[in-house]
Amino acid sequence: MTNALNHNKANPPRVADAPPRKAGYLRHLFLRCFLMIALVTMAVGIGLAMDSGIIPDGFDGMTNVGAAGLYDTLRWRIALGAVMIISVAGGIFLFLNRRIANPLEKTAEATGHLAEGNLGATLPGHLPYEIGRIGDSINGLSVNFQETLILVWNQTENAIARIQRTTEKISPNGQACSSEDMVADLHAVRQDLETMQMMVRTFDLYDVAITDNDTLAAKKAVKPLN
Amino acid sequence: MGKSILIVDDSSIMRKMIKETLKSAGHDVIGEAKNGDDAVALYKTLKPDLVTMDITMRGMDGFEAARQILGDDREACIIFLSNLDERQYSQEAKQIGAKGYLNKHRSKEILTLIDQV
Repeated sequence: MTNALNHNKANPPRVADAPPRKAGYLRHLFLRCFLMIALVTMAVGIGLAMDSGIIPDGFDGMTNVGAAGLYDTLRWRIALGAVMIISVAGGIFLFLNRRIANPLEKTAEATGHLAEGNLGATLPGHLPYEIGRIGDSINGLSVNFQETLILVWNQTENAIARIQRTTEKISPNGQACSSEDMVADLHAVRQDLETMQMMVRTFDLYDVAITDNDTLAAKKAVKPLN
Repeated sequence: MGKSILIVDDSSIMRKMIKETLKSAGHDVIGEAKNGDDAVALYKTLKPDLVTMDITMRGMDGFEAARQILGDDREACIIFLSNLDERQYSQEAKQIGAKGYLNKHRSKEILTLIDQV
């Protein structure tokens, strides 16, 4: 075991440089797809609508007036078709953006806050589809994590108090006594417990505020990410 | 004889712990709610003998839920289980009409309180 630890210290695992994760990547991807569809549709539409030399079959031999009328009709229909395609693509983009990209970004943001110890960053309850279920699970995780932290806090508070009382009994007013080792051990345990409490304090809790003496409901609680 | 109990707590872990404690003493957990709104609705449906109620929850908190339940049923038996400071909140719990207020991390003491209620 020790050799394995030493080996790892001598040859630490190399961490590949991960590309920076940009916010809104999915939204930009959808936008690029929409713009590409729109541009291609416009280009094709314009090319066909203008007199580009493409003559549909069957129009050879018709009068110029008749051919011009047909071309106009065809141009308008092509233009209308292009507008419809662009509109549908735009609608799909807005739908994907609103129902997929935005909820996913909120979920990513909340998990980021959670990872940083901010348990108050909750997700709103109206996210759609499976993303909503992920959001509910993240909120549940945050609540359960807070319960665990408060349990640790309360139990360490109780333990510290007992240690203090025991220390006082063994060595009243800090006087030297025959149980110096025991007092030293108790002091060390107390420091360990206080270190655990320091870690608890680094978290921003969901709806509870821990003060020096009390555990109180936090009025500023629950700030859903909108 | 065991009582039928509704557990109200936004933490699934705490609901599980309380449920295990109650079941070990022969009580029957007939429902679980994770917020005050669900608690009020489930109480009307299930009519449990007793409700264990957390205080801080998303949406409707435990105090408001208890007021609504007691407003509909004055005989409702509600015990608050919370990690909030007892000195600060037990008085309000009594004023609402709860039968008791316990620190939820000492939930075994609820068994004693249930027997007394």
